[in-house]
Amino acid sequence: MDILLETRNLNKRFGGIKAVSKMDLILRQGEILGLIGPNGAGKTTFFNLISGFLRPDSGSIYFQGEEITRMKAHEICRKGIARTFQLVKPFGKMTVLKNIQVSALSKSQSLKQAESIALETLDFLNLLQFKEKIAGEMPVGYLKLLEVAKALATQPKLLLLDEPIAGLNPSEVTRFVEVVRKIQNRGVTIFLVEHVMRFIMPICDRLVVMHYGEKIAEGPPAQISKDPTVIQAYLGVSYA
Amino acid sequence: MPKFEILLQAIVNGILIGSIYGLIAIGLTIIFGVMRVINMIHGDLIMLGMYLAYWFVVLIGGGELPPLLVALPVFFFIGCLIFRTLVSPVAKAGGEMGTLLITAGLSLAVTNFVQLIWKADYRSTPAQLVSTSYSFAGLSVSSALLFAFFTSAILVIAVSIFLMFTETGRAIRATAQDQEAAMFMGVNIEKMMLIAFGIGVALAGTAGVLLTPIFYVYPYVGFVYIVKAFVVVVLGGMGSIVGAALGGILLGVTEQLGTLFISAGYKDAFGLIIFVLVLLFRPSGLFGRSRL
Amino acid sequence: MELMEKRNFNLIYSLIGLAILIAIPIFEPSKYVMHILILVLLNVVLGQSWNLLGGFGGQISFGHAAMYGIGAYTSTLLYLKVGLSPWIGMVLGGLLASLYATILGYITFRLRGPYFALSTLASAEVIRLVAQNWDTFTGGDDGLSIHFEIASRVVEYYIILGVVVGTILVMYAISVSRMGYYLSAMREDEDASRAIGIDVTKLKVLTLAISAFFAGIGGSFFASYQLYFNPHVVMTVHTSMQMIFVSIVGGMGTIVGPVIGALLLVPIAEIFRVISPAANLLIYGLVIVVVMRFMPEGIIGLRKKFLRK
Repeated sequence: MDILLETRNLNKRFGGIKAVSKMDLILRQGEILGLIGPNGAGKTTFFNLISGFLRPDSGSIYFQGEEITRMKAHEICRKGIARTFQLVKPFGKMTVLKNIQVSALSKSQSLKQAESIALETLDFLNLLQFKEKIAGEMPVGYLKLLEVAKALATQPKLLLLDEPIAGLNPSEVTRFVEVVRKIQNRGVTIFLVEHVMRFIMPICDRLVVMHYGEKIAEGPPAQISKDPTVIQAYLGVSYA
Repeated sequence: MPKFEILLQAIVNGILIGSIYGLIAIGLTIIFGVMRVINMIHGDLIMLGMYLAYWFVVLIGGGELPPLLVALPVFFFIGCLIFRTLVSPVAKAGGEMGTLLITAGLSLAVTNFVQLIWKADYRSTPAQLVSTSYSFAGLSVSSALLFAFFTSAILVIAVSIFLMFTETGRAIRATAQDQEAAMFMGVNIEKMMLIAFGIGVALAGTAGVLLTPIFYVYPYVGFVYIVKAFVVVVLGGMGSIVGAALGGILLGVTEQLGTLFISAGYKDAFGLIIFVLVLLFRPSGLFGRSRL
Repeated sequence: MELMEKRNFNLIYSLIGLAILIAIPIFEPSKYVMHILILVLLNVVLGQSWNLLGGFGGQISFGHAAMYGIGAYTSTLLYLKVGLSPWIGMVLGGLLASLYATILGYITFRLRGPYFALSTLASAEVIRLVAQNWDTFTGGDDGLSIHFEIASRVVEYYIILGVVVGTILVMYAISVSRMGYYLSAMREDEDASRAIGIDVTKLKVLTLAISAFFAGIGGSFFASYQLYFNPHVVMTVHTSMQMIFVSIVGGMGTIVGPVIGALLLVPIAEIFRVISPAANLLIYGLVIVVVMRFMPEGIIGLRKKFLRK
């Protein structure tokens, strides 16, 4: 499998705090990689670095072999990395369809083409019946799906999901698992941040664990769940 | 190169007048820090404070102190009123843009209302408030400026003590830092914002009273001061009281020196240019987004 | 705020309205009536200008007076010093205003919402101070005057009418284009816009430049029509606030909104002019407050709410 995304020695600090420290990461095409770690470990910062919303202090990021370290967020999107936001950012006053249509626009030749991509995306996610609803009036569960739909409409090769299931009830979570699998089947590589183990474990091919900005463990879920360093990080108690 | 005394005089005047700028800016920065509202009417509240002092002295008599004491509660009340009726509902509905526009509209209305009823004439200082000059060390310092300096200092210290050591003050700071967290801790956010807005406006009105003996009073004078206040707030860092205080003094000194070295006509431009420069290169201000 | 829909642009009504406007001079209305019409049309242009940036794009500007003023000074100075026709000067005035706005945009692109608004204000104030102090060039506080009437009132009327048509066509074209969609997205959420590939910086600057162009043209026209102006008339924050009034009252983010706003602004100005110019501004301020408090979507928004019931 090809390497899709690679970070080398990525660093970012805020004031005195090292939010991301010496992060080396490799993401392979087609896999679903999960990023976990206790609160404040630097996961969202890492996402922001990869997606161009933050500039790293040092280190580099490569996407499909091309260096994207200093690229701006919109350029990175056009290269093929799409992201969702932890606190959803719908275009509230626009309809669901328009939300996705405008998202598809940057990779489309025309408004018409964008609209058909949007309709296709809505269909893929079983959201067609909501296409004329005003985004701002949709319930949270659907807004999370809308986030994903907008990101998918940009036809990414890599999808970054930032805590996609926070605030969803169990049946919504189950539906989300299916959505993620469907996306993987379409050939999109997925990199997600989450806390809920029940969601992460069955979905992810591999896990990376962050703590205090650093990578402390990496491997298949089964292995990670037994890793003493990881357990210690979460519980703060040594089980060794 | 002007003589040393002239230079020193400029610096001293700058510091004294800067203290008032700081007072104004602190009010603005508290309002911004606690509820992310840019209060476009702040300058006109200063203007109203000036008129309050003016009419008080002209109609009732006495010195600067009575209007000062009246201004504090009156403007606090006005602030609460504005917050309750206009700012709070719009903030909930329209966010930052809405409050920006509604306070701008209110400012437009108030300035012109004042012009209608009290005319646009520049009013000079009433006799009772004309200041005397003290001189020492070759400098002459106006009593009004000194009074303003000490009053500002006292008010700033009082507000700081309030914010740091009282329960309400701490609750206000918590609201400024993290609204959600504060809510979870049981803080009544709405009430804290109300009080903060009231304090901010009270400081503006009081600054107006302090300015009456020093500058002409006219309906549009507020605009001049609100622009300066924004410069100071951005310079010192949005939400930082220390920043606002020091920034005020810095602006005051810069203006005086600028008038001395360059020209008086462009005096107001210095602040504006600093403003844009700071926004460009150090948007978090000298003291960053420090909390209250 | 549904400007993006290829709505039935009430094409029929617009064409009828346009036909009426074109025909009016045939009936030889009084100079005063023509004056009022010209003012309304001018304010439609100014409202559309501010509305593009503020209503469509969500970027509030308190400094549009600078662009208006730059337009006025440019065409007037070119006419007085070099004898260039004010109508060509009008286009140049627009372009120079655009240039100013482009520079401003590149300087302030990083600023969000209120900070951007404040810097437009600060910048406009600097421009005004320059106009006031650079007496030798700009005439300082006294301003500039043109001593012969440039054209008959009827000709001026048709010119501004042409500008209005051009402005509205441009605004409509933008609203149904890719740019229009991007503007709506930017208005709603800048970060989300970046995340879907929109170059928000470039968009802001471009929108500023186009908006400024029309404000500048408006300023040039005003100067060539009134034949006199000074910094206090064309470059103060009050001028900016009037443009905001026109955009907000009718309905921010719609194309017909500024038309309604202009139709309200001018009569108010005329009625209250007998009391004092301050009375106009007082009314505008109060209306802005009331609109923002009770009907932020303007008159159009009210109509929509009405229709939904």
